[in-house]
Amino acid sequence: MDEKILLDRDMNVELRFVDKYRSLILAISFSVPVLWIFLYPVLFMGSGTRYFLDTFAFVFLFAAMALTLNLEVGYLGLPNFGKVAFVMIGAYSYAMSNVAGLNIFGIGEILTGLIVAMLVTGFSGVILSLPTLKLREDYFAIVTIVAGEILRLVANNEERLGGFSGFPVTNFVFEEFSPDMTMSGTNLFFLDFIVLIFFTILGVSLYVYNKNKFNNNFDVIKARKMAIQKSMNIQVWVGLLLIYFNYKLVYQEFASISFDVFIIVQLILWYTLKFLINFSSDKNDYLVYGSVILYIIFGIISLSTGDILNPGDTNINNTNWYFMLLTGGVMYVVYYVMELIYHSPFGRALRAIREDDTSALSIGKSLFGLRLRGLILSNVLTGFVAAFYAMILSNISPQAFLPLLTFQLYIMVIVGGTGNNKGVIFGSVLIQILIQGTRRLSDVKIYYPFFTNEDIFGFGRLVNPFNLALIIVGVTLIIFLIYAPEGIFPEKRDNNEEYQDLLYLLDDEAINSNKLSLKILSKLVNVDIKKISMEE
Amino acid sequence: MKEEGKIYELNAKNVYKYFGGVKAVDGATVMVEKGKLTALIGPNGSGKSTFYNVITGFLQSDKDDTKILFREENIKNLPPESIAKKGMVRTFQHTRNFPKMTVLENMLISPQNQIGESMFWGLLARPLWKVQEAKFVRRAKEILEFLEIDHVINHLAEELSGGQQKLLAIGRLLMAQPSLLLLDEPVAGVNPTLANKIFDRIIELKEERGIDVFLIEHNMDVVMSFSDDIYVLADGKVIAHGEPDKIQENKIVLAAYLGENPDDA
Repeated sequence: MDEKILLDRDMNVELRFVDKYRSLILAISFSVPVLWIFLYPVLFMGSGTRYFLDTFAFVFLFAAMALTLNLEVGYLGLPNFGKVAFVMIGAYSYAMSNVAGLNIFGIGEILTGLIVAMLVTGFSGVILSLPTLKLREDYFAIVTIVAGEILRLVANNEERLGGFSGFPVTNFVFEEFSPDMTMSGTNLFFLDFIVLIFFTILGVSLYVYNKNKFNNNFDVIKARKMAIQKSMNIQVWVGLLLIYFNYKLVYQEFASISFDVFIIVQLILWYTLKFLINFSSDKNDYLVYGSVILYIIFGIISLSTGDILNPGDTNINNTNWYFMLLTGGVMYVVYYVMELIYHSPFGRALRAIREDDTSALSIGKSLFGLRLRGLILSNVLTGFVAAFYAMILSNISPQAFLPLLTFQLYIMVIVGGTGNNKGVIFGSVLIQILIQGTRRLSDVKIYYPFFTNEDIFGFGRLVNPFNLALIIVGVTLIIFLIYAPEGIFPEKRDNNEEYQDLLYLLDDEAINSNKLSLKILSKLVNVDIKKISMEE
Repeated sequence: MKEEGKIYELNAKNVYKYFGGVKAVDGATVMVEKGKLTALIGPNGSGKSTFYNVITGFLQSDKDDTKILFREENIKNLPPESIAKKGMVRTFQHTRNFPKMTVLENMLISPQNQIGESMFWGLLARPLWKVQEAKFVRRAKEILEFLEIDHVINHLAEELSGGQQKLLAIGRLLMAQPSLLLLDEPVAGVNPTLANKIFDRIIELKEERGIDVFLIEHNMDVVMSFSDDIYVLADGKVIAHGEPDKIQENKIVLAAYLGENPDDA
């Protein structure tokens, strides 16, 4: 590479330790107490796995909602304080479609409900934004917060919308299984072993193939990183597919949860590999192959002893397990779409508007059009997530959609990192575990002002841990807004890697590598490849 | 209004803009000829920037007999983004880049007709817009090299110095492949060496790439030595128009600038 450009713009600057590992320090200092709260019910109160699974289902759904909010606040810079209104519209339209038994084209009530929720929420976003998008940001915030309240009050008093008591929502995962069926089936050595071998071969061969391909254009470490990412992306989709098949097989009492766990562990392993690559400068791939061998040994040992987590019967409740996986999948889909947007020219235009709308106007970007599209996309995804939120609530009523929900989502976005999707997910994990965990701890006695378990000095007052958590969250928010307004994980500012690749890529290569898909796409979009790849 | 043998890139006739009782622009007429570097000068408060805002669609002219033609096409009352799409782009007096985005990203926002900028294809046609993006990246690199700021390609726009930011603002406009550049004080607050460099680049643009330039500038040295055609604005009216040497000798212009009565001078 004769013309090498510095990939890392901070390469020449000596950073202080605190600055260099700022995100890590902040993340650890917040996650340790939250982890304590998360584990407390299990260690001292005897809560089972069901508590874990339910909490994580909530975490995933809130993370997905926070991600859609991040599209509005982080990418677009539009303070939508009426997020709860759109969640409510999505949940209600799913529930009402289910109650009415809608089933278009025979695709099933669940899919119909999801489509209805997405369409109705997206459309209501258009209706709300037509009069409000021309407003300045602060007025937009006021109008959206009012819209949310109006909707809740209307639903509370309108009989056709279920009134005060709302609608029951059926959870299709819970319907397919009897609620307390526990998983046995840990003696599936053969099936699990096939999965293990299959995934290892798939991952390594994808990795080797892609690494050789990228080695032509990039330096070794970058090529390895990109190869791992490529390999991971494919494994995730294959893994999701396999888990789905497994889910169908569980119904026939054939496969087991250990199968799912293996797939998830495999993916986590590849993900950690991507970070570890940073520390390996040697030209050998010993790190990758070494980890794969370790993984195989670990797998064989765990397989021979039964399930990874518990030898013998697992007491994981399968309905909750699969609902948690489903919500995890929902979050992954939303995250995937958000990352696609962030790295696409569309997302770049949205961020440009956030940075300076006048300047964006002066180079021919339509403010109204782009904002409207951003809001539609965000609301369609909100509707999608809200349908699952309705399922987890099992009964939706206006009391479930208080403005508090909006602010919870805001706190997740702000604490995690505005504009950074991974940060937003981290923020949701923190806040949601704090809230769900302390709900569980409502029997625990805590006395203020010293927050002890016993009233030492005789003048303390009992305080509900849940209310205490809300106070902590509020104080955290204020501290963050003052001292770290960009959150634990600030938005990536050197997001040039995507374009950096293009600097090296010759157009012929780009065209030849994806010939078929390019041909189809250019037909669909109706453009000439020659014309868009060559300078006139 | 077409004179013999002259092609007008921009033809703005009778532009009016009143702010309450203040006549910011009061019937100014400016014609930018193809192939010439046209400058708009005038003392502070003479309505230069307001004139710019009106012709680029950020403000509306206050009278009906206003005519704004860009390449024989009526652009009066069009929204700013449509005017920019037609090939007339502008900078601002205070440099307005996208501060929290990298220089390369700043450059890549500008091109028109990006496939990936549609919500639908941006998500679904990733391989396709990547091909187009590769072209834009090459173009951006070439322009940054031309402006001699390619070494900061990975920096945030807000990390650049004032002069580099001015160059970046021009570079962003060039990415859009415009036919007419409107530059609002491109060298204000820039040291003389860099100012001359920026103007050298502007001249190169005009001669090598055939891009016409219409600029507002206070720095008389560079205006007089580089421009071909000068309009002088005072109190919203065009008080003089001509070549640099004629403008320099024009008594009305001197009076407007020095605040003297033309008869005394």
